[in-house]
Parts: sequence; structure tokens; C-alpha cells
Amino acid sequence: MLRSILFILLLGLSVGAKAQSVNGVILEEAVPVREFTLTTQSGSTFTKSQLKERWTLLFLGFTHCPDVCPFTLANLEAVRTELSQLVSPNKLPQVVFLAVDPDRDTELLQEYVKHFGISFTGITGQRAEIDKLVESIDGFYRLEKAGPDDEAYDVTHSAAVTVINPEGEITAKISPPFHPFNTANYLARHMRGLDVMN
Amino acid sequence: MFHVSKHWLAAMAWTIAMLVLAITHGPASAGSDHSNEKKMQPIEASGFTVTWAKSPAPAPGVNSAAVYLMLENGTEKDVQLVAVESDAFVMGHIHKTSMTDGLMSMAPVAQLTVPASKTVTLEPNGLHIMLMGPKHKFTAGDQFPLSLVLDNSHHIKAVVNVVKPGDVLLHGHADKMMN
Repeated sequence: MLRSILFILLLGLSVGAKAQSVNGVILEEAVPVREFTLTTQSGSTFTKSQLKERWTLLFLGFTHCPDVCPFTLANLEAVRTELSQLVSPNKLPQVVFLAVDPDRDTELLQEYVKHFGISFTGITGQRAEIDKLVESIDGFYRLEKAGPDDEAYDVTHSAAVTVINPEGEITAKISPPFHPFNTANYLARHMRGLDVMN
Repeated sequence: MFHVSKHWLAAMAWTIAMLVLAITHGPASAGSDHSNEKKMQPIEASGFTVTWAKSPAPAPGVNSAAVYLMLENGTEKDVQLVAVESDAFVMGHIHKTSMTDGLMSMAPVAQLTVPASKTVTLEPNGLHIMLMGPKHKFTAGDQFPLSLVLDNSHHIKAVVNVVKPGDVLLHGHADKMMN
């Protein structure tokens, strides 16, 4: 009997340790996203309304990003796959990729999203509107242009994924690495309001 | 007298000709003339193994590609990786992605130490080879050659497999999960 209790305790500890390996921060109070107007890869308008009635994982990046952005997008798709085992389909979050380099991103975004062959929405638009959303999620980006003719520039940007609830409020931030299994478990608990591990 | 002088003149002319040759085609051609350098067959370094060389197919319109791989130094000497080359791209660099205060940024790595009897892993969110200016379009299933250049100018040859954007990342992740 004592052995069984110990085993259950150890199992609980190991599950706890896995959940803690996600670099997540749950906000004490949810912060509403400000109004903004951007455009999706297919040309439709994307506003705060599109963040409602579903959970959203919002990631900030740029189409010419060779390393971090493809890695994160692929991992978020894997997180969604893991989550589909844990939550009902209506709770499965949408993945939104906010492209912050419109000079290069606007033209490429449709092909970029198609290229991945996975489920996410790409949004971009006027710089002022991008900045509204970036400020709203407490994000940051900087175009590292060496000069006006530099076309191969990097963009320094926030690494975290912002978690937005179906009321359009920011409830959590998750930083890399985004281990699909651990992150899915973390999000499943968060969406159920079980944030005891945080 | 005249006879000796003729020989002397011939010898002088030969010496001057050699000097001119040495100046115009000598040491300067080894480093500064890139086209001559390209024609030289690079010496292949032995004792190194490249595995897991993969590159996610770049999205249409994107002129850069990341390469991930594992490089094992089976020799007893530390080596420095100083350059990367591929016939399929205009140029290449070693890059490091780093996160500081929650911000992701990329920086070039001038030289990468591969310690003796150790393996260096280039993987997402860490080190990668950034190739720019593809000479043709790549899709998953394609392959292209890659040459890793050491500080002694020896080359390590590899073949890179082009994969779907998600594939390389998830396999890399699986490797990490097992550690």
C-alpha cells in the first residue's frame, strides 16, 4: 500500500516536472488586446474579432527568417496535434503568425503559408497597425537594416508565443523551446484554468 | 670575353623573367585571386563525419536556406571551421541564433571550434549554416553539395537533403527529447 502511494506520488512529481519544463508565464490578470486592422495571407481583413470565440497562439516573425520562425511554426503545429488528443476540437487554438516586415512579407505571405502545408494564419499590414498589435502583446521587433539598399537584413524579434483567450485577452506567454508534448499539456491545463504548476 | 658576357646576359634575362613570373603569379595568386583559387582542387580533410545534413526547403521568394548537421571530429586535433561553400548557392555563412532578454537575433560566427574526438551539432535555435542566393529552386527530396572549410584550407564534403519545413525540426526535437 505504502509502495503504491509512493509510486503515485513519484508519478505526480514527474508529471509536474515535465509541465514545469515549459518556459511559460501565466498573467495574473488577463490583458485585453487593443483594436487593430491587419490583412491575412488570402487578403481578408483580420481584426480583434478574429481573436474571439477561440483560443489563439500568436507568434511574431518575418518570412525571410531562416531558423527560428520555421522551427516555431512547425513546433506549434506539433503542439496542436498533441493538443487534439487532450481537448475538444472547439478548444484547439488557432496559430497566427504576425509578419512584422511588410516590405518583404506582404508579397510573399500567401506562398509562405502555403509552403508550410500546415494550419496557421499569416497576418501583416500597415506598419502602424502592426505596431499596435506588437505593443498590445508587449512584443518587440527591430529591422537590422545596414542601409537603404540592404535587402538581406535580419529582424530581431520577440521569441515568445502569446496565448490569447476566446475573449481576446492575453493570458500567458510561452518562450522556447516549444516541446510539443510538454507545451500541449501546459496549454491544456491552462485552458482548463488549472494553472497550479505555473 | 664576348662569349662569357653573352652567357651572363642570358642568365640575367632568365633570372629577371623568373622574378617577374614570381611576382605576377607567385604568392599573390594563392589568396587574392579568387578565380584561380576556385580552379584548385581542395584537399579533402580525413577523419571527419557529417551526418543529419538537412535543409528545410525555403518558401518561394525567400533567398536564404538554413542547413543543420552534425559534424564529428574523429581526429586528435581541435579544428576551426572558418567557411562554408556550396555550388548551389552564391554564398554561405555560419550563424548563431541567440536569445537575449526574450529577443531572438542572429549573428555570424567567424570560426567554429570542433574539438578533437567531439561532435558539434548545428540545430534549430542554435547554430546553423545560412546559405544565400540559391542558383535554382529547391523542393523537398532534392540534394545539394556542401563544403565545410577548415582553417588549414582542407575541405569536408557533405550532401545536404532538402526536406519539408517541419520535418527537420521535429526529428531534431525527437533527438533532443531522447537526451
